[in-house]
Amino acid sequence: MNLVALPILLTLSTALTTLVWRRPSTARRGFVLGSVVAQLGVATWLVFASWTKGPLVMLMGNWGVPWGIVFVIDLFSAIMLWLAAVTVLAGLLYGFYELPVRLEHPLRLPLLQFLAFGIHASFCTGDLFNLFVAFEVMLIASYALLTLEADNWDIKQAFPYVAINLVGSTLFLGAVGLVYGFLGTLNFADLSERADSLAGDPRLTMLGTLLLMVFGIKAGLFPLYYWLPHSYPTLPTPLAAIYSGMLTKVGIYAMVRLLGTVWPHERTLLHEGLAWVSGFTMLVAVIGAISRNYIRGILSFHILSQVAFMTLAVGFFTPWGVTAAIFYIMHHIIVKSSLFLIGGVGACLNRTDDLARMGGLWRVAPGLGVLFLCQALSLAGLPPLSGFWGKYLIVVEGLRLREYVLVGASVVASLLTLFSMIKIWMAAFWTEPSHSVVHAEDPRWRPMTRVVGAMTVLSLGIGLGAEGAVQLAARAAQGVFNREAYRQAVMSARGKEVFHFGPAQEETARRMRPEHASSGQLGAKGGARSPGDFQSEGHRIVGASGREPACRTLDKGT
Amino acid sequence: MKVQEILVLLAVGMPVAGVPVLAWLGPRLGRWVSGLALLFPVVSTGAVVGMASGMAPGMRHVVEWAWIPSLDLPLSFLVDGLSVFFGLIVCGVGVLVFYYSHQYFHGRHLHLARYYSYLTLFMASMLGTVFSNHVLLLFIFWELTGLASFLLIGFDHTEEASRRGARRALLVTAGTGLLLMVGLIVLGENAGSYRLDTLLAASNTWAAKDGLNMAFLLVALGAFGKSAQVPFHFWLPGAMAAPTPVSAYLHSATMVKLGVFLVARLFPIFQGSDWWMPLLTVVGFTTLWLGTTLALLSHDLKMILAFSTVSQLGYLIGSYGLAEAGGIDADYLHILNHVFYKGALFMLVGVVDHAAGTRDLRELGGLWRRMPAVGVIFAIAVATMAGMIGTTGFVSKEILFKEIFAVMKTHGALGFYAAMAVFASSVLKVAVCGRMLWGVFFGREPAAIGQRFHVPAPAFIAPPAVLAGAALLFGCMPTLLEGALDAWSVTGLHAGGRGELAIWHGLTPELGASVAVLLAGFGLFAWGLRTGWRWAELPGSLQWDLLFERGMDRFSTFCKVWTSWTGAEHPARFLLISLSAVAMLTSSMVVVYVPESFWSALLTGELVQPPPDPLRMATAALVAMGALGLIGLRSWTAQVISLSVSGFLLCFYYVLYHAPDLALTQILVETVSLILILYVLARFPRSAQRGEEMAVESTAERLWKGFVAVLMGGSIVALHIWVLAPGGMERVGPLFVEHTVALAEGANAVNTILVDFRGFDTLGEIAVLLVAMLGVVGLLMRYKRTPAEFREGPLGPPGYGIHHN
Amino acid sequence: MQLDSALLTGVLFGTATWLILQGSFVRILFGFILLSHAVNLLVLTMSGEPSGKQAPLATESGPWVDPLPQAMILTAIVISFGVTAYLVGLLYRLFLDHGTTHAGSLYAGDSTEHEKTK
Repeated sequence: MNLVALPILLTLSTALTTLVWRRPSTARRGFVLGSVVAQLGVATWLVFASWTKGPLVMLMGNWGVPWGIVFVIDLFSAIMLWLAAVTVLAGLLYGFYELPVRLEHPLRLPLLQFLAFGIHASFCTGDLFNLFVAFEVMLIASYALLTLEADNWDIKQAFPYVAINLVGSTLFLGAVGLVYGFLGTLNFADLSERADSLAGDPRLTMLGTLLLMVFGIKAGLFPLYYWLPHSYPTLPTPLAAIYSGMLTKVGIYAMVRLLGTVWPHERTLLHEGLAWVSGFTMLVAVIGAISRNYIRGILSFHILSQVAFMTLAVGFFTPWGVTAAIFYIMHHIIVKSSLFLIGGVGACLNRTDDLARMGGLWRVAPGLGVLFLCQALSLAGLPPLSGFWGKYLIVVEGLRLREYVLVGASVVASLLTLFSMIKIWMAAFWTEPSHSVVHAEDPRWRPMTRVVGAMTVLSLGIGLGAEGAVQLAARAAQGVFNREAYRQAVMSARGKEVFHFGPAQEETARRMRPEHASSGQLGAKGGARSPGDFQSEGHRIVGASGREPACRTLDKGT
Repeated sequence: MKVQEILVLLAVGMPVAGVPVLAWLGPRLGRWVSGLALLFPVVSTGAVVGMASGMAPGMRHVVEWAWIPSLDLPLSFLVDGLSVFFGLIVCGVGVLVFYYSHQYFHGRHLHLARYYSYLTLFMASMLGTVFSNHVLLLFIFWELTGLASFLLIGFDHTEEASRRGARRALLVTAGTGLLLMVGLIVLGENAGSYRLDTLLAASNTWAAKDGLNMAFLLVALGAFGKSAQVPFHFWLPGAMAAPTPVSAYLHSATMVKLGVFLVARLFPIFQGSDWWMPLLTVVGFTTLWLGTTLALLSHDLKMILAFSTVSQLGYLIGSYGLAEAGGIDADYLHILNHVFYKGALFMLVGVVDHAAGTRDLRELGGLWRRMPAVGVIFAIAVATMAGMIGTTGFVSKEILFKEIFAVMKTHGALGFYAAMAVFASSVLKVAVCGRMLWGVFFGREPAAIGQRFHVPAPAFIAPPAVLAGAALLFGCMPTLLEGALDAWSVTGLHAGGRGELAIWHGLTPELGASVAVLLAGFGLFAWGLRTGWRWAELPGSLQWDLLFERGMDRFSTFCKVWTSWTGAEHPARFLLISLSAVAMLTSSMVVVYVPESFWSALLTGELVQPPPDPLRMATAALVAMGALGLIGLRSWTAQVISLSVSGFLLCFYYVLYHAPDLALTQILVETVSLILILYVLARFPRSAQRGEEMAVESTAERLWKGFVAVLMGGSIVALHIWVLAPGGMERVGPLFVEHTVALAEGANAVNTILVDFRGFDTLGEIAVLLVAMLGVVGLLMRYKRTPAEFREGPLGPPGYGIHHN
Repeated sequence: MQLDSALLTGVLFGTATWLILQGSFVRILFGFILLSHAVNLLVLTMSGEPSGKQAPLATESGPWVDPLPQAMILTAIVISFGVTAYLVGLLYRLFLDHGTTHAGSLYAGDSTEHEKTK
C-alpha cells in the first residue's frame, strides 16, 4: 500500500462520511478527530520516509508521465502535509471545546475536511493543471466555510474574498493554458526538463511571473492581498486559525515549487521583483496591523507581513534563502494559528476582542499570558524563540547578497510587529478592563488554553531545538533545488502504459522528448536524457518481471 | 565534566532553571517564595566566586556545549576577567536585591512569585550575556534581558505609567537590539567567525574596513540603546515606574551597563574602526553633561538617580572612546564605584519612599531626626557619588581627572569637549548630591509626612548599608581592590598602566581640580537652596519621553490614515484595486518581457499565418458583439439575451475548433446558468435595474475602469499571440489521440483523458461541484440555529466582533 | 496562430473586467461568467490552429486537434459552473441580508478604524 495517496483518501473519505452522517454528535466528532490523528500519523510517516528515501512518487490511475497525474511527495511537501494536519488537529480540538455539539453547524466538519482535501492535494500533486483543480477545491471549500456561519455583517466581508479569489483562479487557469501552449506539457518534472531546454527565452520568465502573480494573490502580496484582512476576522476562531496557518502558505508552497523545482534556476527579474514586492508588503501590512484595534484584525494583517518574510526569502533564491523560507513557514504556521486561538480564548474571557474593552487577562489567566508572550514574541522574532531563527536566516542571506534595503525593511517590520504585539499585550493582559468583567467562570477557556499550550510547546521546540528544524528545512530546500532527483524520481516511475507500448509507438514517444521539439529560435538546445531510454527501460521491465509495481519509491539521486 | 563547566552550568543554569520553578511553585509557597528565590542568586554567586578565585591576568577559558550545529551556534561561554567581573556584579547585587525585595514587598505582594521569576529570568539572561562566547548567543541573552526588564517595569501593570514606561523601554532596547543583531552578523560574516575568543585573538587584523565600520556603527547603536545614551536616554526615566529594587538592580547596577560591557567586550575588535573614537566620545560625553543637567532639574529622587545613571554610563562609554589602542585601565574601578553608590542610593530611596510615602524632593525634608541611621548611610552614598575623600568615589575621580588631563593634550578638540563635559557634570553632580541629602534629611519637615511615617526595619536598610560600607571600605583602603582588579584584567582591553590606587597622591593637579569642583558644586547647591530650586523644571524640549509617546500616538494615527488611504478600509474598492493591480502587472510584464522582434513580426503579419478561417472570424465577431452588448444594454432582459447569444455562439465556435464534447457541455452549462440567472433576477427588485444606471461614479472613475479593462484585454491578446509564436515545445496532447484506443480502450481522446488518464482531475471537479452545492446550502440555511444562538456567534454572547463597536 | 481567437479572448477579458468592476451584482455575475468563457477560450486556443484537423477521435484519421486543452476546459467549465452557482447564492444572500443589489452600497454605513478614532 502506497501511503502517498492516504492524505487525500483520508480527507476525502472523512468529508464524505461526515456528510452522510448528517447530525453532529460526539461520535461524529470522535470519528473526525480519529481521522485527523491518522492524517497526522501518515504525514509523520511521510516526513520520515521522504527524509530517508527522497521523493515518493505515485501515479494516479497508474499512468506515468506524460499521460496522467503524478503525485510526488518530497520532504517539503511532507512537511507541509504535517503542518496542515497539526493545524487542523489544533483547530478541531479547540472547536470541540469551544462549541457544544448541539450548536455545531452540521456542515462545518465536512467542509473542513474538503478544505483539507484541497490543501493536501495541492501539496501532493506534481501536475500543474491538477494543482489548479486542487486550488479550486480548496478555494470553494474556503468560500463555503467562510460564509457558512456568517451573520449579515460577516457576509459582506466574504464578498471581496470570493470575488478576488475568483479572478485569481481564472488567471491561474489562463496561466496553466499558456504554460501548456508554450511548454506542451503539464507535469512538473516534464515541465522542468522542457523549461531547461528553453532557458533564456523571455516567455519563460513571463509565464513564471504570471504564475507568481497568481500565487501572490493566494499568498497575499501587496497590492493583491485586499481579500484577506477583512474576511479572516469574520471566521470562527478555530477556522481562522486553520485559514491563517494554511491557506496563504499554499500560495507560498506553490511559489517555492514553481521557482525551485519547475522553472530554471537562473536568477531573473522574477526573483528580484518578488523580493522587492515582499519588502514592500511586509511594511505596508505591518502598518495595516498597527491600524487595527481588535486582535483578529491585527493578526490578519500580520499574516500578510509574515508571508512577505517568506517570499522575501524565496526571492533571494539561494539554498539558504529557501531554507529560511521553509523554516519560516514551519514556524509561522504554528505560531500564527496559536495566536488566533489565543485571541479566541481572550475573547471568550472578555466577551470581546476589541482592545479598547479587553483587559485583566494577566491577572486571571497568567498561563494564557505566558503562551501569548511566547507566541507573540516569537512572531516578532525575539530570540531564542522560533521566529528569531527565521528572521536571522533571512537577514544573514540578505546581507550576503548585499540587499541592504530589504534587510532594513525586514528589521523595521520586525520592530513594528513587536510594537503591535505589545499593543495587544498591554491592552488585553495588563490593563484592567474598564467596562466589563473577566468571565473566568466560563468553563471553556481552560481546555482551549491547553490546546494552545500544546501548540506553544511545538513552537518552543522549533525555537529551542532549532537544530532539528533547520536541518529539516535545509534538507527540504535541498530537495526542492535538486531538480535532477525530482525528475529522475518522477520520470522513472512507470505506469501501465508501458505494457501497451509497441515498437511502433517508439517514434512517437521519442518525438515528444524536448530535444525533438519543433524548431524555433531557442527550441533545439537538447535535453538532459538520451532519447529512447524511457522506451527500452519499459520493455526491459516488462520482459524481466512481467509486472512492474504500480508505483514505487526511489532513492534520492544524491 | 571539568570544574569550569560545572561552574558555568551552575552560574547560568541555576537561574534559568529558577524561572519555571518559581513561576510554578512560587504561588503555592506564599511568603516563603522569597526564601526559595534567594537560593538561585546565592548558588550563582558561589559559582562565579569560584571562577573568580582562580582568575589570573589574561586568563581565558571557553566552555562549550553543542546546540545548533547547522547554524554553527554552540552554547559557548567565555570565562575571562571581564565576564567574571560583570558576573560578580550581577550576582553580588543580585543577592542583595533579592533580599531587599523581600523587605520591600514585606513578602506580601499578590504576585510575588511572578516578580521573583522575572527577576530570576533577568539574572539568567544577564549572566548569559556576560559569559557568552558567541556573538549570536550574546545577542539572544541580550534581548532576553530586555524582555525581563519589560516585564519588571510593567510589574505594577494596572498603572498607565508602568505600562507606557515598559513599552518605551522595550521598543527602544529591542529596536536598537535589532540593529545590534545586524551589526553582529555583519561582524561575523566579515570576520569569518562568530566566536568571541577567535575574534578577540585575531583582533582587528581583518582587512574589510567597510564591513568593520558598518558593523561597529550598528553594534554601537545597540549599545547606546541599552545603556540609555543620547539620543536613546529617554527610556530610562520611564523605567523608574518599576518597583525600586528593580530600578536598583536593572536600571542602575546591571542591565544598563550592558552597553558598556559590550563596548568593553568588543574593544579589541572595533578599536581600529574610523568611527570608534568620534562616535563614542561625542555620544558618551554629551550624555554625561546632559544627564547631569537633567538630574539637577528633576525633583523625583528616582528620576534624579536615573538621569545621574545615564550620565555615568555616558562617561564610561566616552572613556572607552578616548582610550588608546593598547587599552584602558580604570574602567573596572569606575563601574564598581558606580555600583556601590548608585545601588545603595536606589535602595535608600526605596526605604525613604516606604517610610515617608513619597520620593518627591519638594515633599520631603527633616527626616534625619526620624531615621538617623538611614541618613548616615545616605550621606555615605551621596559622598561617594560626589567624590568626597575617603570613598571609592574619590579614588575613581582622581583617576578620571588624570585621564582627562591626559586626553586634553592628545585628543585635540574632542579631548577638550570631553574635559569640559567632565568638569561641568562633576560640578552639577556635587550640587545634585547636596540637594538630595539636604532635601530628604534636613530642612523643615512637611506636615503630611508625620501622619504616614513609619520607621523602616533594620533588615530593610541592611542591603544598602552593605554597598555603602563597601564604598567606604575600598575608599579608605583602595589597595584592597588592586589585586582583584589586576587579576581580572583582559588582554587587549587593559593596558596595565593604571598605577597605584591610593587616597593620597600628593598635591597633584587632579586634587586641585577635585577641590575646585567641590567648591563650585557647593556654591551651586547653596544658590539652589537659597532660591528654593524654583528654576529646577524640566523644559518640554528635554522631555524626550513625552515626545516619544506623542510620536507613538502620531504613528498609530498615521497607520490608520495610511491604511485607509491605501484602500484597505473600503471593501467596495477591493476588487477595483486588485484588478487594477493585476492589469498593471500583466501589462507591464508584456512591456518588459516581450522583445521588440515580436512586435515587428506582429506588425508584418508573419505571426498570424495562415489567415483565420472566415466562418470562425464571423462567429468570433458575433460572440464579441454579444459580450460588448452587455456593456451598452440597459435592461436586464436585454443583457441576459446578449449574454446567452454570446454563450451559445461560443458553443458553435467550439465546434469550429473541433471540440464536440466541449460544445455539448457548454450548451448544457449555459442552459443551467441561464436558469440560475433568471432565478436570481426574478427575485431582485426591478427598481435595482434602474439603480444601476444611476450609479454614482465620477467620470475619472469610469475612465479608470475602462482603462483597466482595456489594459487587461490588450495584454491578454499580446500574451496569447506571443506564447504561441514559434519556439515553444511540441505538445503532448496529440499523443493521447494516437494511443487512446491502445491504452484506454476508448476512441474519444477527450473522454479517455477525463475519465482515465486524468481521472483525478475529474474527481476534484466533482468535489468542487459538491462543495459549491454545500456552500449554497450553507448560505441559505442560516436558520439552522435559533436566531438568538446565531447572534451569539460561535463564541457566545455578543461583543465578540468588530461590528459591535 | 489564430488571430481571431486571440482578439476574441482579449475582448471577452476586457469586457468581463469592465463588468466585474461595475458595482451591480447582476453585472458582476455576468462579468464572471464572461471571464470564465474568456479563459476557456484562451486555453482552447493553445491547442493550435484547428483548420485542416479532425476532432480528437481515434475513429477519424489524423491529424487531430490537441485533446488535452479540451479535457482541461471540460473540467474547468464544470468547476467554474460550480463556483458561479456559489456566487449566485452569495449575491442572493447579500441581497436578502442587506436589501441591495449594488456592491457599493453594501459597505456604505461601515465606519473605518480611522474614522472611529476621530
